Amino acid sequence: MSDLLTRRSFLKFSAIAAGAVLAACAPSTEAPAEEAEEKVEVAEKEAVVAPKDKEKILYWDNSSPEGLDGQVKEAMIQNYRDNNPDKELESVYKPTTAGTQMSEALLTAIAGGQPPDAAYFDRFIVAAWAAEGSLTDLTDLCASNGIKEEDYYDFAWTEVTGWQNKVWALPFDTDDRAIYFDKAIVSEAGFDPENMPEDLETIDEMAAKMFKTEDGRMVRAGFIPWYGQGGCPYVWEWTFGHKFWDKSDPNNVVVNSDICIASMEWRREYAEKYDIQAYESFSSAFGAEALSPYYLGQLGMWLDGDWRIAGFKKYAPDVDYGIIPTPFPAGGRVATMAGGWSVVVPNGAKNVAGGFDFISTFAGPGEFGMNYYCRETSHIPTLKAQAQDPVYTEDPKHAVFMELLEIADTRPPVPIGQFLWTALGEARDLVIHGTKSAKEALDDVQANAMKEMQRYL
Amino acid sequence: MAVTSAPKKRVRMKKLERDDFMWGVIFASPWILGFLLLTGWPIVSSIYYSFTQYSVLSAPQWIGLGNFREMFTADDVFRRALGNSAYFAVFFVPLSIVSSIAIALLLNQKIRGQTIYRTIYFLPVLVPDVALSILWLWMLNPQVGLVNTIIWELFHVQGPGWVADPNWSKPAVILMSLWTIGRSIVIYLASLQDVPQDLYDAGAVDGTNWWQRIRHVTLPMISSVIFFNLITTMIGALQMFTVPYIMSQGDGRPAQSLMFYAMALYRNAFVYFKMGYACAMAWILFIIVMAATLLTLRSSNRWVYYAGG
Repeated sequence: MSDLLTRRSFLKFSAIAAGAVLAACAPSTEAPAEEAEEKVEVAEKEAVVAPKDKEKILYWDNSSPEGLDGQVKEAMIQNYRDNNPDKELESVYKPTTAGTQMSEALLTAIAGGQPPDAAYFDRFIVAAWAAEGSLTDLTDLCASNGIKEEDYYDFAWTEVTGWQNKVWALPFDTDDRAIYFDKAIVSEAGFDPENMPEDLETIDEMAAKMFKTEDGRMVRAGFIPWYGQGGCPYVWEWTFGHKFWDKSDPNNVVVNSDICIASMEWRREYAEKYDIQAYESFSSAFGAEALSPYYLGQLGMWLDGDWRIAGFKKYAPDVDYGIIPTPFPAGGRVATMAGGWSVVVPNGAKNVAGGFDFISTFAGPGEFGMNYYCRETSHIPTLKAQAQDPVYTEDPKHAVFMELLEIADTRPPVPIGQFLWTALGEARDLVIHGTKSAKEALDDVQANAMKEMQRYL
Repeated sequence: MAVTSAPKKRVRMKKLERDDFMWGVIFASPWILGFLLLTGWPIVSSIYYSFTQYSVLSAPQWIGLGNFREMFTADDVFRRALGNSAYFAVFFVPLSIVSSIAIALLLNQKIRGQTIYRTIYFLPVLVPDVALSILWLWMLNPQVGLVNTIIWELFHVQGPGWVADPNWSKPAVILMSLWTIGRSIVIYLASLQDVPQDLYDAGAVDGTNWWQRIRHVTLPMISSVIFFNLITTMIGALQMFTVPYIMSQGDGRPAQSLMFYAMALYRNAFVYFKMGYACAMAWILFIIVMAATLLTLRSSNRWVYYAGG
């Protein structure tokens, strides 16, 4: 009985399957007349909305649509749509992966051959992704559209052309870094806040007078070299006079010179002198941005970015603070790191021309281009002419940063840029905690870096 | 007659079985296809990738045992990460077993509000790992955290730096992981219901004290459940990722003391473009987990008692 049932149901199953296959294979001309009429109607309706096929452009961005950056970008995107009625620009929010500046979604989309036509991209990893063959070479498109090296700040152009001297991205915004100091704390320590030193030794002396401890806890720090943006690799090495990378030898990066070691040693001495545990406890005691120690008058001096000016206006308008270029030791120099983002056309994009058209408008000199974004969000344009906008220098504090841009350095635009960034940060962490000596830690990074580099040579 | 009908019947049974099997396969086919394509295929290809230099974005290049050689001879972070994960597993697994059995025994007492207590101990399991990590970051904050504030109020000594101190960061993670043992507590509680009352009664007649009853009655009777928990907790501990990742913001700070194995693996794969190397790391982890599980299995016939035989 059960056998019969099984056989019957098997037949039924086969019949249904066969029917489905036949239906799928049936030529569309055999469709009943009614259905065909319906289709014509639908097609006519679509034709009213879109007279011809619009050119589709897909753009991925990492700014949350709820945030200020995202809203400003949305206005720029909408403007592009309004000016290009023949194009259909779709913007999709793809956040970056925690702890990195990149997007796993973009990585897998490119690997899978289905990338967007344009993407917002951290400029310092352009070389790395270009070396992996995942970005479209924009050199010819730039030449035919009048996009020229001379129009940009050096550091920005260097970053997008680091790999094989071709253009892999269009520079967008930038930012740079300098020393902030709390005038009240400087005065209290017996120094003149209007007459800050230019040498690092004096800064060290000043810092020593600013530290305060209560019940074995650090309640005020004079200076934490690696706090905030001071934690960025490269900055202190530059200040000590080191050069990591040179255009003339693009595949070589040096991170363990005597200067690098001296600069790391200087930080280790801070960790030792003021007790790294007290430091770490102090730094971890502050949560949200509004509760940062510099807004609360608990940090004398620190390295920070130009955007902190906006932070002070918002969270601590009453704190009297000043900004000076990084003081440097003998043999060193004023240094700052310029960061920022860019826009790319991923390799394998379906609509390269469309993607480029959009990014050259988005990051271009037009009314709703780079400058619009930078003005609205407290960033700085990488197009030199745009950066001349008086809005960037009307605040004398911000003018310090604008002046520094002329000498700004950038992270080495090499394929191992992301690796170096992480490895140098880790090396610093190991040194200040006494796990490795400065020389040992930097020699290790150097050896590993060169090994990683071999993959691209 | 009997001789001919018997084989015929067997054939019919076989056919029935075959039909059942066919239907079984047809109905399970979505899962089988999904497994083969989404799990089986990646597993097999990861074996291949582990012998290659593969950046995901460009084609893999065969380098033989290169990845494994690098791992064991030149990679500092690999060694540290392996050490950290091992440290965590070695301390967390026994601690979690002892404390969950102890709590299960207490929660098994017939007292008023029993279900409320049970619920309270299970609640932390419902907190997502990310929220849990952030919450504990605040609890363990060296200066303003609840834990150190209590230590200060009670003993007037400065508590440890917890996650800000490389020597205390792993104990901190172990401590907070112990907060979420509710799942194993529930399993132990269930197993405690299965311990026959007559064994306790017999023990009481023989004049045993509470410790002897636990040692010689309870523990042997729930040993199969301990065994199950031992293996699952161990595997989970060796794969620990979310909590240290969030607590150290992805880079294992301070001084790589929170760089766990799975974090190092992830970073190689998705930050450094070293998917081949990451696959090799994954297989080493698999071998370690496999070996630990086999060792535990081996030892089990000496200490695990199955009441059913």
